[in-house]
Amino acid sequence: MEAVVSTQERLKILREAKPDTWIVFSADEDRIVAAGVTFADAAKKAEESGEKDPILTYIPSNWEPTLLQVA
Amino acid sequence: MRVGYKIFPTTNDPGYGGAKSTWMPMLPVSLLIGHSRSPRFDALVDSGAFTTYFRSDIGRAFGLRIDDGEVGELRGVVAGAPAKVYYHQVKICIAEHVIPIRAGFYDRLGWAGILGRHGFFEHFTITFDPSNNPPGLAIERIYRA
Repeated sequence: MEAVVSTQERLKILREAKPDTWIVFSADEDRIVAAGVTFADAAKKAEESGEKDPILTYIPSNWEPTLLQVA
Repeated sequence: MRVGYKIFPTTNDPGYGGAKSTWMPMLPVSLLIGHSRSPRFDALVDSGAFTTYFRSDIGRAFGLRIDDGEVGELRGVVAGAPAKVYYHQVKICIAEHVIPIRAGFYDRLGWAGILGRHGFFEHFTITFDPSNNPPGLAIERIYRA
């Protein structure tokens, strides 16, 4: 899984991502290199991708406004 | 060090005022748990948060026994039952800085991490700067004698 990410593409990816999962961006955040259901899963796939110093982003259950949300 | 905000989707909620997206002060951090270092993940810079919190699955992925931590109650700013949060000593890694902190771990935190007053703002001077596009934050380490 690898794609170049513009701002609009990033928004589309985040909107369409399955809630309560993780997405892995490349170190420069220009590419998506993996995704995972859990942090451990995403971290493992990130390592397998060979990407150096990736950044994991959590996809929340929804994009509603929140303040120190306790679910 | 200046770090650009990151863009996230919005909803039709009137609180967003019709905006289709919103820029948020996210900082890539990693945790050092024992001798294991996590990959970087985006954490929300939130001066309104009393302390610093992370999703429990980040800790579990690197061997932290979440339920063995000191248990506390976490309440939000809107009404609701308190949640159980478990506190652990970890090290937070931000750029070249590695800082021992006491952080809360909670299973259902709405973000991967929330960088609050204890554990984060006590160690850095933060300047939120919305004047650029994208907006950003400047971060400078505080060194105490």
